[in-house]
Amino acid sequence: MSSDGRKLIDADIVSRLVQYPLTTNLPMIGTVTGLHKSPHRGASVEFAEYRKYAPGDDIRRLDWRVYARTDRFYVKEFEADTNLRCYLAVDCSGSMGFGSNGNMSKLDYACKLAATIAYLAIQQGDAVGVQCMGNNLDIPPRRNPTHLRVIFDVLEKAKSSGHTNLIQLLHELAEKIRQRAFVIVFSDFFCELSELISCFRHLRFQKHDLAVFHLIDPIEIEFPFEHPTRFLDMEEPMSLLTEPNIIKNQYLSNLEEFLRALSSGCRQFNVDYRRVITNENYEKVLANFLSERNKK
Amino acid sequence: MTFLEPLMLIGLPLALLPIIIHLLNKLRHRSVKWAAMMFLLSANKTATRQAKIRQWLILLMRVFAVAALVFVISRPIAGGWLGWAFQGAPDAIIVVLDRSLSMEAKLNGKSKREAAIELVANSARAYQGKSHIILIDSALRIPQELTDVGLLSRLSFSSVTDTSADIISTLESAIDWIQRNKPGSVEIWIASDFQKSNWAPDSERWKELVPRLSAVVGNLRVRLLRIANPQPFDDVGIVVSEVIVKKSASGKVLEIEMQIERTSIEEKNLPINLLVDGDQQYFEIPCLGQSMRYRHRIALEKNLDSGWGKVEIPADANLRNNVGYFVYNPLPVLKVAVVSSNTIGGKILTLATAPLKTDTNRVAESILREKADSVNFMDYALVIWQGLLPDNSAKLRDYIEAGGLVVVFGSGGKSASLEGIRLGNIEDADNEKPFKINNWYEKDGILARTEEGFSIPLNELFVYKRQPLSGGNAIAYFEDGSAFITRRIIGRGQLVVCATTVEPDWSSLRDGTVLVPLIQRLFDAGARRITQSDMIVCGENSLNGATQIRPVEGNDYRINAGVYRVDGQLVAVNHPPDEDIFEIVDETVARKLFTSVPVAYFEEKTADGQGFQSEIWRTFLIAMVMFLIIESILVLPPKS
Repeated sequence: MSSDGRKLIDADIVSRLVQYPLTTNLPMIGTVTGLHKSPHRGASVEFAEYRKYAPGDDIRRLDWRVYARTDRFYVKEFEADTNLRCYLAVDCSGSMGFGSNGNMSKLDYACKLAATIAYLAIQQGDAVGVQCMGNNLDIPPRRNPTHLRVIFDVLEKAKSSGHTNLIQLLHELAEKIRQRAFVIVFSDFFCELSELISCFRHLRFQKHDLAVFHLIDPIEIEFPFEHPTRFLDMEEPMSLLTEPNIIKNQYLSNLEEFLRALSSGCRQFNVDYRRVITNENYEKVLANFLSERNKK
Repeated sequence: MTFLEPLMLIGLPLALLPIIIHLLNKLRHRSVKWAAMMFLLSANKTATRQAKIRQWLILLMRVFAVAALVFVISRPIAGGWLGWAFQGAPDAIIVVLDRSLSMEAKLNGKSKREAAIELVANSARAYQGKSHIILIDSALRIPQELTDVGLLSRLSFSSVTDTSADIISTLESAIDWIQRNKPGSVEIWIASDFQKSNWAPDSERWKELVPRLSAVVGNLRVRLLRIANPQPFDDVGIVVSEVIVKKSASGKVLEIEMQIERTSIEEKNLPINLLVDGDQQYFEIPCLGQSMRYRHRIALEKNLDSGWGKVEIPADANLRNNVGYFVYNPLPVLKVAVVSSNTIGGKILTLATAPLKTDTNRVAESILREKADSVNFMDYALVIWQGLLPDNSAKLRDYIEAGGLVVVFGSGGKSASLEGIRLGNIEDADNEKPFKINNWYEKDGILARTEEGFSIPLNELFVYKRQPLSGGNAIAYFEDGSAFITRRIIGRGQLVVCATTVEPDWSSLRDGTVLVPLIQRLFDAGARRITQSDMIVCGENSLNGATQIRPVEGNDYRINAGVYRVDGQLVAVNHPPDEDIFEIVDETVARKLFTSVPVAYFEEKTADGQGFQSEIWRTFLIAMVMFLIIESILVLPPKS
């Protein structure tokens, strides 16, 4: 039974977010006219450049004023507007199932963000595809509004479990998408940092616009434990009994160093990095994301 | 250290609470599912050892803080030598107080005895009402129960004396008291300066004493408090060791022998003030080394039959040993027993002993060996034995131990032994080459040079027969190294054995050049027991049989030096000469004396007496605060 997405999106929030179009900074190669720049010249109102007239060109595009001044024929070219392909990659590894003290899990949070973005994109005529990394659920991009139901179905079925080879999946994603696309990754990125950055570089090399939502639970950042605790790994069958008081500083230091390096790596490859604490209002997170992209 | 509220110490195990809580916390850990394991694992790996040490230090500080709090509540009181507590009050505390003369040395203005009393009183105050506190002083050795330890310094039983201290006998008094009263647990506190002569660590009596101590009471502990001498310690002690009245052409001459002991080795003149029958004489004697004897002659101008006097030296660290007393009385008749089975030898020896019966007070009695058993040797100043030795030497040994002197010339040609000295079989010399003596000890003793510096001509002696000697200390040797004369100290007397006899076929001793001075000197030495019977040592209770004792100078003859008239005769009481020789028993030796009995040893050098038994809860309170401050510093998160 198909889902109407009520579990994933909030109509009020969506109605408020509609004012922010989902844009990309890179030209997109689309099949239909849309809101996004295309690498090809088209019929939009935005001037691009002058080009010497060549036989076969539409004479309606000749700029007569230039001809009057220079006695030469120049054709006036305009930017082409097209739609975009948006890939939503959601990490479904075991660690994404972590949620503390009534906060939703990182996976649930990611699905909400992905569903809302998918809705907004399809509403503005862009094609949206979803890949649940770790669950082997892969929906290719479509711009048909009915496609939304499929996306919601997939996101609702997404479950966190086991260990996901995020690095390999991102590399595969980079290779799989043939045309320029807007790739949005939702993950906690608990993996080897240098390899992760190389994934981002790979995606950017393929001329994809890349945004990453780094999801972190509040207690992962605060580490508020005091008494001896046995920590059970959510991805591997292992545990660690330790005195949090002894290792707290070192843990926070390691985490901070990781976050700083990840942020720096994203900046280096022009990746739109968004750190999201899962107790934040997701409307605010999306509003910031959309509005800031529009300003660029 | 002891406690006014010892019951509170029950709470001491509470100090382990932080450790127990820590362990319980570890056991009661909770499990948490965790996503960011990669950071956790790396943090756990790199968490430094320092952080773990810090955790343990925090725990330790908490333990110390709780322990200090328990101590504060228990109201600890401590003294330098009383940190041996943590145990309840015993049923009885027996305080053995050394009241010997050496304890009168001044230490920061107060005597060592006073310092010891103050320390003991301060310490015993904590036990007053809980334990029976018994004082046994070394001078009288009479157990006294103290109802108020504050009065200890004012009791006559703790006052100054001129005696020595027989620590073993004092402890035997303690054993007697324990046997009579049968307390369950006993502590013996011995406050002393550990003078070796008082403790006699080499005495066999210790071997009997300690097992008796352990046997009489199951729970016995001993605390030793040594009051040390101040440093530097400058003290000179003087005693009159011998007084002889000699007749001369101009009248009577008094010969006074003084024994001087001092701590300094510096060469200097010692001023001496001499008082004889009220006449005063001042002179100085040169002092070399730490121990010396000085013989002084003075004419008795008043020509009295008896009289008394004293010698005084300047004040120093110990005032009590700066005076020596003496008396002189009419000379008694001195007898020598010449025991011999041979009349020729006996006659020679009799003549050598008392050549002029009319001009001396010396009488020689010839006794046949067979009748020797019926003779009471105690009446004789000297016993000369020639010929076969007695079958049973017990009588001679008792005589020697009591201060008598026995000289033996051979053993009748038969191999025999007497009190550790063995005479071998006869050795004959060649007719043309008799045994000769070439080496003898002539610095002092019976073979010493004369006052004019002449040697006794032992080298002119011819010995035709001899019995080799073994055992004892040889003082003269034949040319072949064999002993000619040997001697052995037994008790207060001595045994002298000669390897040959006075028989003409044995040696040329009968010539008299060696025999007469030798016998006369032995006679003088033996006679000292009788002639000096009016010169006694304080504390030896030699006057117990006297019916009337009146002080001439002094107070109580049992504990004070001075001059006393005993049954009409003057008697000088001097402090024990050994009290002037300050050789101490060190801690290791003192501990060994008590073998298996638990011993705590404390040494007090300041004689301060302060802080030995004051409440020290403030110290523990400060310590607790310090522990908590350190703990709070340690729990602060390190600067990131």
